[in-house]
Amino acid sequence: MTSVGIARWGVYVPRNRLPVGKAGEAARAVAGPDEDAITLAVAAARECLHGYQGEEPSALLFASTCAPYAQKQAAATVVAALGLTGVMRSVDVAGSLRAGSDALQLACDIVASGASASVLVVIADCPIAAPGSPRERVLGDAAVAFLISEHPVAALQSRYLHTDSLLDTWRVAGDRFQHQWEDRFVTLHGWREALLPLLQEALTVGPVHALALAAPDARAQRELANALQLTHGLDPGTSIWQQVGHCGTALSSLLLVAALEQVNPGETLLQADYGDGASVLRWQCQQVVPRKVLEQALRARRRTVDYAWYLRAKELLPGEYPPPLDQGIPATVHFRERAEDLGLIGQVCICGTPQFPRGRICQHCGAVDQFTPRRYAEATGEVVTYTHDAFFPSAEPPTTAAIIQVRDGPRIHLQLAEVAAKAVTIGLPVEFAFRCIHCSGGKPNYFWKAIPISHGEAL
Amino acid sequence: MSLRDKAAVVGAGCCHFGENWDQSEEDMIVTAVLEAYADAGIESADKQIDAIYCGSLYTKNGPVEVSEALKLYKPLTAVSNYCATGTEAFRAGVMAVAAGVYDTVLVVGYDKPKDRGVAGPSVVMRGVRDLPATPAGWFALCAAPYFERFGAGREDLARIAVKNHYNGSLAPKSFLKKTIAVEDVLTARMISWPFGLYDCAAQTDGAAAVIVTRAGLAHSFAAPPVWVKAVVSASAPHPHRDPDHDFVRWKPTERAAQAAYAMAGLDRPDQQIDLAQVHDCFTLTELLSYEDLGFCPKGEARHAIAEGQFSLRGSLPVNTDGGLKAFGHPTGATGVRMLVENVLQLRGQAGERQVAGKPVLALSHNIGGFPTGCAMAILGRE
Repeated sequence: MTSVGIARWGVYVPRNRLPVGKAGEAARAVAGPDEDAITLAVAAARECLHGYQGEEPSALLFASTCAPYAQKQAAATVVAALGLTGVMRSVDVAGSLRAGSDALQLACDIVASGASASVLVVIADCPIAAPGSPRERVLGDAAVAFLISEHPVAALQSRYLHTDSLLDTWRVAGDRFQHQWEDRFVTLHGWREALLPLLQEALTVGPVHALALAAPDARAQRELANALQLTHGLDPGTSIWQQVGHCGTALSSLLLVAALEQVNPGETLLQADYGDGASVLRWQCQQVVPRKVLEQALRARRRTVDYAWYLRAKELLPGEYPPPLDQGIPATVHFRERAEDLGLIGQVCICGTPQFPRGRICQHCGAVDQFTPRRYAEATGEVVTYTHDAFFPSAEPPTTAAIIQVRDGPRIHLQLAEVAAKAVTIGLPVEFAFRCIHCSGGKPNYFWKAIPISHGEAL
Repeated sequence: MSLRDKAAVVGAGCCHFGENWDQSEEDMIVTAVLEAYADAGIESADKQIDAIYCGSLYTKNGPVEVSEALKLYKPLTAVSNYCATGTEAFRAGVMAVAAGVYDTVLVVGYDKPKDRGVAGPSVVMRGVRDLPATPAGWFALCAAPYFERFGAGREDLARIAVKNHYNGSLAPKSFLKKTIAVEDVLTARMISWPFGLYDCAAQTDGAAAVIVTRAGLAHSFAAPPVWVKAVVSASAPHPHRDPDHDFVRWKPTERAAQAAYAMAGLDRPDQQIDLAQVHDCFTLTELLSYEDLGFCPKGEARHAIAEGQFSLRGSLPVNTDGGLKAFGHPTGATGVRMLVENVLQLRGQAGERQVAGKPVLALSHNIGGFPTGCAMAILGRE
């Protein structure tokens, strides 16, 4: 049987770091007010597919415990934002902390069955705990994407699974906050008892060179790894505890990427995940890792935020002008604009003139209905003009708005993100990021923002 | 068809602009319209007014606000074109009179933004990607390119705010009576860069009205007629999407100015126009409009400002009653309020703020949208 597994991966860690612990020894990665599980997933998936020339995936699996809608598929929105026209099957996997590794396994099963040649798995979480609770200091936000196909970099060799129903950590429908029982109970019964037998069984098969061990916290992880005498692969894991936090169902996958980027062909990794039971996946590295992404993802545009910022960003503070209780933007408007809003798809006239948004008459030549759709999400552009709007309601005023001249494309009026006001200039080169623009009607309204092209520290 | 000299303004009225917490739309409409009736010597509106043209951007109930306020049973047309709404209502009325449909019409502009509980315009989410959309945020988009290209800066904008505050302090019905200095403008809290608080017009409640009659009846009213030399409108597609837009001008104003000057028969507007009410929702709007209206060459406004050309005693006084900045900006009323001010100035009835030298031609200018529309009127004493 041909091997199936992970061919490519991408990671997205939000730039905001909330210091926790003494003297800033650790920080949590926190999604901004314009980010949610869907936008995190899109960012990770774009990183995963960056430069990819192979066959487009025909299925997409989205895993999260924090999907913005309780009922409305997140995977379909991710597909639209990515412009993956070849995706026939989209699936949300949810509910459990191990939803991420479950989705990963399912993707491998789909490819192994021959139903799809390649499957994209996006795993994103941004769990929050009640303000002031101990868990608040542990949770973090991140997303990981994997492209699953034959002839992978890391092949799934075997798996060890266990299902149980425990009330150790949960979020009741309608509640915003993740809760858990006393931490020693969670660590012992929710995690260690479920996982240890599976790990021991997996270790009998052969030597293991790296361990991606999801755990309720860093201390539990360290103690179990020591007990198993399996600490290789944990160092980057430690940096994840230091810089990201427990990113819910994305944790074991983020640790897996950290481990993958350290191993050599022929070496074996264990991915251990938990939540209402446990899963241990045994992966074998079969090719030299083509591209390392984790370190860059952890460093990109990183900045420190404070707790007041965190409370505003997560809408945990009441505001002076609460949003009106209305139905928001009509569903029919969402429907008509979905290509533009989710895919940043404009149009090009037969005369060559680009336009955004779509219209029926060309601004340049006057031709009627002679347009071809064109996606600009992967394009670059530059700032034509800008302003910093302190009046526009925002968790982070002022809001920088700009007219962007897309290279070989139209001009688009949108917000700038991830840039300090003083760094904005006419001519600033930008690319595009998928974000939640506002929550009119109590629903996420997605569109794109421009962000400066930068691969280093925060501007 | 040219509208020049086909109609005349024979009555003008305006209520006090401000935070009129104790007055409804209808209350303010009655104040402005009764003043216009009295000015024109109209004793029976039912007999002497043939139709009503009204404009309000934030109307709660629509045109019934006008017919209910005035208890009139007349043909009633409501128009809307963003902040150019007032001048558009006037244009509709003038066209109806010039076409011979009506002899005399009432034009009313009004708005009551201060019922919304916010100091500035409210930010309404109208579309999925319709953001960021605040008026300051979209008008400010011309600042960076203009500053970069012509070397202007916030101080040049500040001088416009200082001038308008001074003029407003002399107008009895204006909202803001406070004179300010350049330093006050530069140190005020930022609204949308480069606009600080004093770069932004004061949103107020208000209503204004004029009576328009056909040329043949112009001398049959109590007030001396002021003639309509031109009233025009121009529009453009969204400037933010215009691939050729240079963000140092507003194309609708350039086009409207061309049409207005042609209709009024002017070839040197900078020398022939004696005073102007120019749309100053933000200081930069007024600055760009000086140039778009041909009052000075493109890029030269800051020199003309520094020389005081547009001050009350300058060669072309602009916003003699304080403008949107200090008199106030009840959106639908603004264009009509400008006409009222020009009528008073041309009649020599503007009191302390009266411009010198018996002005003959006065221009008023509204822009609205992003901006996507412009409406202008030129009134003449002769």
